[in-house]
Amino acid sequence: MNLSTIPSPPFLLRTALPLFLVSLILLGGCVEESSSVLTFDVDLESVTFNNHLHASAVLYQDGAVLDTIPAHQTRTYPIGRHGPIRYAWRLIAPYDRYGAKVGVEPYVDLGVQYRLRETYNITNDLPSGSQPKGGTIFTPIIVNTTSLYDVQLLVNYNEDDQVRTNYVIRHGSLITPDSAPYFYWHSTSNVRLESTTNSYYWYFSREDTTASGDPELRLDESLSEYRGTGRTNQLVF
Amino acid sequence: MNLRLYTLLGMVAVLAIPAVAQDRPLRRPPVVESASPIGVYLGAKGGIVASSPRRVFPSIIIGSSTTGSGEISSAQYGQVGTGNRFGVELTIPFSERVALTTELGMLTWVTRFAANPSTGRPASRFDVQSFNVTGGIMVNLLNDTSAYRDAGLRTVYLVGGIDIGAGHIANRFESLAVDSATSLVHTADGSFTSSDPFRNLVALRFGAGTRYALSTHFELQGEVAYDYALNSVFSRDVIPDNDFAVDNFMFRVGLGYRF
Repeated sequence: MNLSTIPSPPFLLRTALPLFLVSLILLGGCVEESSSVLTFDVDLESVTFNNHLHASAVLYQDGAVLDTIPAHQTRTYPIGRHGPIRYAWRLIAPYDRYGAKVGVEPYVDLGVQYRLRETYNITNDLPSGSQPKGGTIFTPIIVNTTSLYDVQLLVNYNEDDQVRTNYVIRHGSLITPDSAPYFYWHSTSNVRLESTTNSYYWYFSREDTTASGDPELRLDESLSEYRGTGRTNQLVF
Repeated sequence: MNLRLYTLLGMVAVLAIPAVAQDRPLRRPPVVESASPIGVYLGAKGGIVASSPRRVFPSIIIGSSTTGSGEISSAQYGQVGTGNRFGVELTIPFSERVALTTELGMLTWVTRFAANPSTGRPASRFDVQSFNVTGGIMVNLLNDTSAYRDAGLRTVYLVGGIDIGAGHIANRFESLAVDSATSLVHTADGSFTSSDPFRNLVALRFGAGTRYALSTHFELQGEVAYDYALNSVFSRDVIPDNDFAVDNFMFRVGLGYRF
């Protein structure tokens, strides 16, 4: 083959072929998605929700309230129609002793149902489109073994998202596992429990470790039923 | 006496050899840079995809349309649509004849359907973009080892393997819709909002190609391939009893580096 008929390799390598490949990619482009929703022309049968959290959640169907699902419950709802049906859920935060909400109440859009029999899991992992933001949430499992001190909860102390609450865990009790407050979990999350009567406090962080080498504060997934709950290890004091 | 003399002369000669050698160095053979016929090939390639629908496309509702598009028979209305495919290829030769080849890339396939005047359905099209992974075996029908030192035609090959749609990226469907307020029939488009409706498409691939060296290490590649779909496009959890499938014919060119 006569090589003199083609340009020198440096010219081709530096300009013509890269330009050709890039232009193919740009011209080929991406599929531009439409804002209208497609659905199949078949009747959807049912939808099931599994609530893994230690708190109740409100379920929404096409923006209207469908039901409230308690902690650790599974509920199934028949549908029997076609077209786009969109679901969402919102966490229900507990109240403190003054009637104010404690912790976050994220709103999670589950999108349009496509499967004839769909199952959605409500867990502590929030997708990126959640309101106010996605990420992981957690609830501290507090066991107050003292005989004297009622403590109030302070989460992510000295962090940008510090939450000081008036949520009180009385002496000799533990946090309510079916109506627990949730907070955003990150690499420096911590829990500080301050006595309501004096300056005593107890502090648990992800940086400090126990005698066994585990972080003092960690998400507890030691049992399969704990996965998705966002519960921490027991914070005993 | 002679023995002693010869021994002494021999020792002198042995000691003198390195000095002589240093004075008269051996001439090294000229170095000819060459790619290896069993060297790894890494390249990018892209080109057009001609897609052909098979079996029945399901009825789909666009937005708030009061009726679906109606089922569409590929045998009756199916047409070839043109998409594209781009990817990065890694080929690892086992020998001068056989190599393992893998590819990661983006596939856009388009299926078209002719209008159905009896139902009022206009010409329709369905575009899907996915991330694909391909693995296969390449067999060289021709492998000119002399071309690995310079430019020239190096290989003509056959390739066979499996192409897997590993992830859905985007989709768009254009067809009939009926306005819920006015009942007027019009053309509209829409998209599935998640990858739930889609299966991971698996296709059997057959292809042939050639590689031409532009220089010692850079190769230009041309390839044609046919992907025969082994499964249906839509999940049976979503639309039972539907086996709509798409086959793709590809023509691509590429540029790569041979180690």
